[in-house]
Amino acid sequence: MARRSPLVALDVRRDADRVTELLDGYDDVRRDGPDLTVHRALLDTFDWRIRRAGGALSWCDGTLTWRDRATGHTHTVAQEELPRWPDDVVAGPVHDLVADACDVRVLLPRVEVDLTVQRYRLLDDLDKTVVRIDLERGCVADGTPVASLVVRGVRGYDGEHAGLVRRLAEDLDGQTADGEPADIVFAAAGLEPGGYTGELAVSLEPTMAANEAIARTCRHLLQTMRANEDGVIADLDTEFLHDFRVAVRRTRSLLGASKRVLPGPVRDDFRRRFKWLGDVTTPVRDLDVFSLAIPEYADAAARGDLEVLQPLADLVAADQQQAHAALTTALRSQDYADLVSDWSETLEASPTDEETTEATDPIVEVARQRIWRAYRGVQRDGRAIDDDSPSEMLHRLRKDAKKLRYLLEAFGALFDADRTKVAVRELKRLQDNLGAFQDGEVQSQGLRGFAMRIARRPADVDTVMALGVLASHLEQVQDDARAQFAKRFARFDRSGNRALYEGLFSPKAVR
Amino acid sequence: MKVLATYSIKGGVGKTAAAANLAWLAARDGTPTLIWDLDPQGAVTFNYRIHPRVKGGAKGIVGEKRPLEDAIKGTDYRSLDLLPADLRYRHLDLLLDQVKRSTQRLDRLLSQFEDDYEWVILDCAPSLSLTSEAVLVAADAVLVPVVPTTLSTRTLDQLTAFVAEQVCTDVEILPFLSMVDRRKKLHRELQNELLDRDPRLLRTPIPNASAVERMGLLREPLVATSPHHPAAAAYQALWEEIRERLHETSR
Ligand SMILES: Nc1ncnc2c1ncn2[C@@H]1O[C@H](COP(=O)(O)OP(=O)(O)O)[C@@H](O)[C@H]1O
Ligand SMILES: [Mg+2]
Repeated sequence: MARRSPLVALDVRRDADRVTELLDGYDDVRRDGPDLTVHRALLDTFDWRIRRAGGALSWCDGTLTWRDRATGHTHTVAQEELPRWPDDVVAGPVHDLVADACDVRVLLPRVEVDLTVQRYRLLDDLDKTVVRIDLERGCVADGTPVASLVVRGVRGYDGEHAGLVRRLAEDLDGQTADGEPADIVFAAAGLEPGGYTGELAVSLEPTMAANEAIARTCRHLLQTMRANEDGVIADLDTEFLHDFRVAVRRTRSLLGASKRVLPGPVRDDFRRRFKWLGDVTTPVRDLDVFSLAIPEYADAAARGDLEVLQPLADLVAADQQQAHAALTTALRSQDYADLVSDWSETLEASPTDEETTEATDPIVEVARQRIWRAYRGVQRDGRAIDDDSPSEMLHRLRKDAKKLRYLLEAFGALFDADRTKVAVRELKRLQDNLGAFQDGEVQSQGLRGFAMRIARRPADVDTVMALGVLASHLEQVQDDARAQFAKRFARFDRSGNRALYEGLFSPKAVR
Repeated sequence: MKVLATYSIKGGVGKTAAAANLAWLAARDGTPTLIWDLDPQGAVTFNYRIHPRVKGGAKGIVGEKRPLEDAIKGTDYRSLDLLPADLRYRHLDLLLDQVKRSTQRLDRLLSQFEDDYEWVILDCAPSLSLTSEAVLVAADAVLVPVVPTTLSTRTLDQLTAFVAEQVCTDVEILPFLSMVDRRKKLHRELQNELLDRDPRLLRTPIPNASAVERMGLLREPLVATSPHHPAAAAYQALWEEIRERLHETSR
């Protein structure tokens, strides 16, 4: 059900008792029934997708509420238990909002709190309720107290609501900040809402020393890995590992770009160790990709009937479990612990030797040169590919493009932001094509393996046939991508895009 | 969204008392409900302690200049909203007369609430007029209070004839016995006679009770203040019956 009425919450942790006194003293405010005790959970994904979609999701004693943070409108639905996946939410507007925002991510109770609610109402001259006021007091897990005064409007009485909020703010000496009710609880729990994002968000100055800028970026990436560790080990959803792997790959490409900035032996050592870390995560990710694609497979090969592909889903899930156990062992190993501590020490120490001649050069210059080199690599390898080239050449180009992409993402902001965005967009087009080619190959090979295992057992004929259809579908995807490559690359390599890269990153580029 | 209207050619038969109590019952379990006070006297508005006045008046509403939404007020009960009466509604007939397709106008106005409310209850003024026609077009069912008098059967027949004259309506007529005094022999006799005669008649009679009258003083629905009172229990039973009837016909 949708409601449209204003809501303001005041953080009154410091003077909750005074608030009670104040409200009891107002002539036009009455207590509204006995106090309630409620249990409330504030839900969001690990990377705050609900919040980024402009919502706030809370569950309180069997009711799930989505609140639009901008308009204050709410949708509620009766939901007996805490939902874990977006699709656990009872069908209706709340489900749709949650599903759109969260996609494949699991809903986590970011904070849970037991609250005592003192209820009040503001009455008008007809003794009609025109504003509802809830004083909510409780403690978060570590015992930190929370107290918020939630001032909720009644439809059609916005003026009265605004008036009361003003009056309260004045009488509380403006000591209270108003905000989103959820934020008050998050603050008490020491959580920074929206704090984590999978994006690379490090601010750098163009004049910063290269080694310092790279270390700062790598520290952020290490934090991202560490932030996702628990979720990877608990296998909460696929995106913990996804973000973890992206951070590892970004780290590896920064290491690759750090010649003459980091001492050779240090680079070689960490490149080897991060390659190991990347490799141990690959089997699980490949299987995750499979299991995420199953609904799509069912559409392509079984008219959307998931039942037919159930044997495949079961096999993928079983392999995934095994691979996940191995990954967990790796993440709990001494090797991993040592890698984390050695890497953070290295990043603090900024080691140099006689070969690190660019360590203190301005990052903008070092980045420009690395991006240019990577761009030229893409250009060279792409131009060498014709319709008969072996697929290894496309895979190689895919890796070149990825390297360039990571560099643009890490350092693009040091250059003309708008033009860099265009450069990334053009590159992404090419990458999509190379990705489709690679995915088609990896998945059709993987599928063949699964199909062989399924065929060895007594299997449903529909399943075996669907796997056949699917295999040729995936080959088709790969063939289509291959057929489109020349056009896509020609687009990437057209004069306008070349001029864009030259203007931004060539040695002659003027800034 | 289902639209119900309390409706009668006569005044003082318990339309507003029924609308006020049934709306509260509809909204009780969190079901979004709107009660629209179409009587310029504003009795149901008064009962819910709301000031009778709609920005722009009837003109604004009929002309659709102002969004009807803006006039809606939340009541003291969480899922129950009310569209207040306005004295200027007394011109509603005249105004409806001036617009095209006037009898469709209420229906069209209400369609905007399709997603917002599950129940809409219209509390009407007593009359047979253009407004009444518009109500008959907009409503899924009309609840007609019948006070057992010798004239009451005639009134009901008149109403049925009036509805039959309206071309574009498949509205269901749900009469119920109102203000029944079981101590009066005449009431008992007429009640039995009506129940026998008219199969449309809902089986639950609303008793004549001073507690219903006192609602006007307390300005809260009886079903909210004294849910165990026999008259409140009667409204409750009547509401169940109405829901069943509508459920049957919608199948
Ligand atoms: N069941 C009842 N018992 C006693 N008095 C009633 C009952 N129903 C309504 N009344 C009273 O009768 C008067 C007219 O009722 P009301 O509901 O306003 O009628 P209407 O809306 O049809 O004009 C009001 O004073 C009301 O309190
Ligand atoms: Mg009335």
